[in-house]
Amino acid sequence: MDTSVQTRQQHANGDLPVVSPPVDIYEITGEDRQGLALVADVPGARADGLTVRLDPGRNGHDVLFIEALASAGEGEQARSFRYRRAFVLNERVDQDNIRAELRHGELRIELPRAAEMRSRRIEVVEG
Amino acid sequence: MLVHWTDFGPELDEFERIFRDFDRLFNASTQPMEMAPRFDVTEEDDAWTVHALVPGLGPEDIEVSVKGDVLTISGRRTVEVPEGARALRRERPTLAFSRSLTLGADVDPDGITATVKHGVLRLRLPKRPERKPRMITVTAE
Repeated sequence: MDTSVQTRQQHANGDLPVVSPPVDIYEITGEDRQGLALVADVPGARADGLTVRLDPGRNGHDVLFIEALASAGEGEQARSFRYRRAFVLNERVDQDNIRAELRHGELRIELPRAAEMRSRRIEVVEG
Repeated sequence: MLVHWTDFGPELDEFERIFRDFDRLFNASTQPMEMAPRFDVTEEDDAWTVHALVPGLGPEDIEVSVKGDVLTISGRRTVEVPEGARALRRERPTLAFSRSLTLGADVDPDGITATVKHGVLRLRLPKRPERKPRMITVTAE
């Protein structure tokens, strides 16, 4: 049995229950904007408990980590938990221009494509 | 581009990659079915509270009404693919709900409040103050 996976998970999660939020991912292929947009449902999460991180993974694939502390309910029913998901990206992202916005419990992340990955239209001129 | 999620970190990358094409097939184009949030009702000493997780809904998207002894809560969130974008993964459902609760005789309908914050809807249904026994002073005539 592989116990290393379990240990790592416990370590990463602390003692809060972990919830895997539903996520939509879009590819944006406009001329001026290219990259990925990701939207996650994280009701109860606040901006001050939010972590969006891009880690270098193996084989040059970056890993996007999303973690958000959340709470709901009150009194004896109050519960705190942690949203958590990770994605392996197949493409280079412009790390300096990642944007994240949290509104009404929806987390939106824009991951612009790295400049060297961007496709660019080349003007054809008559010779 | 993209992409696989795993709750275990990048270690499963190789494994996940094998299934990428299947994943795309199942996730990219179809949105999950419409869903209603779960409503949790809690009793406290002086009030009942109702909670629901309603991501994406602000105050303008939720309607709460009381008619007689029936409380109705309704709202809707649709998920659209943004213009100029191609969906690679669609897991977020349309949220649609219209729930009616019959209020107990101990609830004061005029005191009901509803707030929504960070995608969490909270209703407070205060109980009527209990009728205290009233002492009637007997006076001599």
